[in-house]
Amino acid sequence: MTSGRLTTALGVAILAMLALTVLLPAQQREATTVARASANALAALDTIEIQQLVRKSAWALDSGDNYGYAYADLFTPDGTFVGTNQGEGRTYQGRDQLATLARGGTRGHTVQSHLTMNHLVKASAGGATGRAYVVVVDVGVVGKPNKVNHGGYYDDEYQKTPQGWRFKRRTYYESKVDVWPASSPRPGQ
Amino acid sequence: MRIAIATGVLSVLVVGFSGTSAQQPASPTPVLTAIDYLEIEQLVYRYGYALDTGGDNGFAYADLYADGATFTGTNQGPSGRTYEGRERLAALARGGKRGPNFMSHWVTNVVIEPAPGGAIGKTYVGIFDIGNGGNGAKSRVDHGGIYNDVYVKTPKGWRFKSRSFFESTSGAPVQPPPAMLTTPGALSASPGSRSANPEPRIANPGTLSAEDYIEIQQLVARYPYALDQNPDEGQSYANLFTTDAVFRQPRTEGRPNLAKMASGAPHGAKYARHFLANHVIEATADGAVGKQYLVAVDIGESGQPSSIFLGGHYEDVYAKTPEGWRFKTRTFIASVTGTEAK
Repeated sequence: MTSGRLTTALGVAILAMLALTVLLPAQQREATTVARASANALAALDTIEIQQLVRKSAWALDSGDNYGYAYADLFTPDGTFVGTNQGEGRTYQGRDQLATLARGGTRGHTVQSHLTMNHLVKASAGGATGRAYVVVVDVGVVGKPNKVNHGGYYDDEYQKTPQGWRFKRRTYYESKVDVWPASSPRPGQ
Repeated sequence: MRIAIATGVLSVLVVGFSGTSAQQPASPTPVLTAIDYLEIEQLVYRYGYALDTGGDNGFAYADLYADGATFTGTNQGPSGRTYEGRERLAALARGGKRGPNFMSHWVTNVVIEPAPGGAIGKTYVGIFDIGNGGNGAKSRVDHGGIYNDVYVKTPKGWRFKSRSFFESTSGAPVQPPPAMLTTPGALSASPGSRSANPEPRIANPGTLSAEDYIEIQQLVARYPYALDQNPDEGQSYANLFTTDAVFRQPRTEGRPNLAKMASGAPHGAKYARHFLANHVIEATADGAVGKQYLVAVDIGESGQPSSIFLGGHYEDVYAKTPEGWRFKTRTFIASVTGTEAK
């Protein structure tokens, strides 16, 4: 590659990155990506990074790494987690509260409890939103049989920050059935 | 896409520049493209099928590894056991319960990072005993834990360079963390593997772009929500299928019938029952095919115990329509414990 070409390539790359991250207002950015004519208007790497964020949150929560801050640092500075299953619902906001949440309960590098699946990702005006199922299993709890503990889903808002995609808000809902047709077998039947 | 390529070019340059200003690393850290992430993820998901089915006399499993690669089961025996080479890995994969429709290893939370010489990753694995094809055996959580992986890009695509299993234990004395992400093992340089050029794609001569893979992932991810939450009498569910689609079992054809079937299943605004994992996608001449593991969990409400309703896998044909990717056929096959693979 000649130095002239290299300079051009570098220039194009820098311009493209600036355009992507700085110059274009969110709406315009969306307009350019909507042209993908798909259900998903985020760039492939954006979706992949958001997928990685959600997966990392399970690791950070179960390990309690860095005294809970590994989990807290997956959120924006004003990021919020709401556990609707905790009493009347409980909100944790900001780095310290989120870290406290992540070091409660059974934690450690050998704890694998939160299996997240079915991750939906959609572009939104402020970044992206998503949902993921989670089934919480008790595996290797000394003296207890392995079992499904509970489960439900997360409702997420993601924001792109200079450090990468982060949770702006995450809400956990425990699974609850409303309609159980008579034709469908119930547990234990 | 141009932006992604440009970003890739820039990142390569930045890595190049920083490499010259700092000490030259023995084996440079590559830039992973979207397709690299997706291909590694596909490798990780294929693992479940290869191990549980014992396909090709165990060699389907062995061939997910690079030459000289290793699997270590740290839970086997007092100090763990390591399997190296194609023959030993294949022997491992045909031991134990196996069968063409046996599903056991649910792999989730796959985190991938570039590393010198390739990439490293870690995944959760939930290992379930699914009732044997409705023979009355009770399904249960058998065990689980994590895999620590090192991946290498070979001329045939991404492969495991090493994989280690660590069993999940809680309440036990704190153990040192598995050596991983921060200290990847030295990898032998694989010539040409650091190029961000779109050379070999996922195994097949695929015509799927990164966007296609992601849209198909998202289609499958929408499925459980449409079924479990069913906000509109099955319309969202039916609209995931092409107008001439066929679902089995029970055989259900056409959107009105699909909507009716969905509404006959338990649902609720906050209901979560169908958990899908190991989504493998392959390009075909006229679209794509795929498969994924399903475990349907009856989550206990109000402190009631949870139980596994059923498990198995879906086999899909996807078609790209003006509405986007849709299911053309979707077939559920319950997990059946086979005898040892022949």
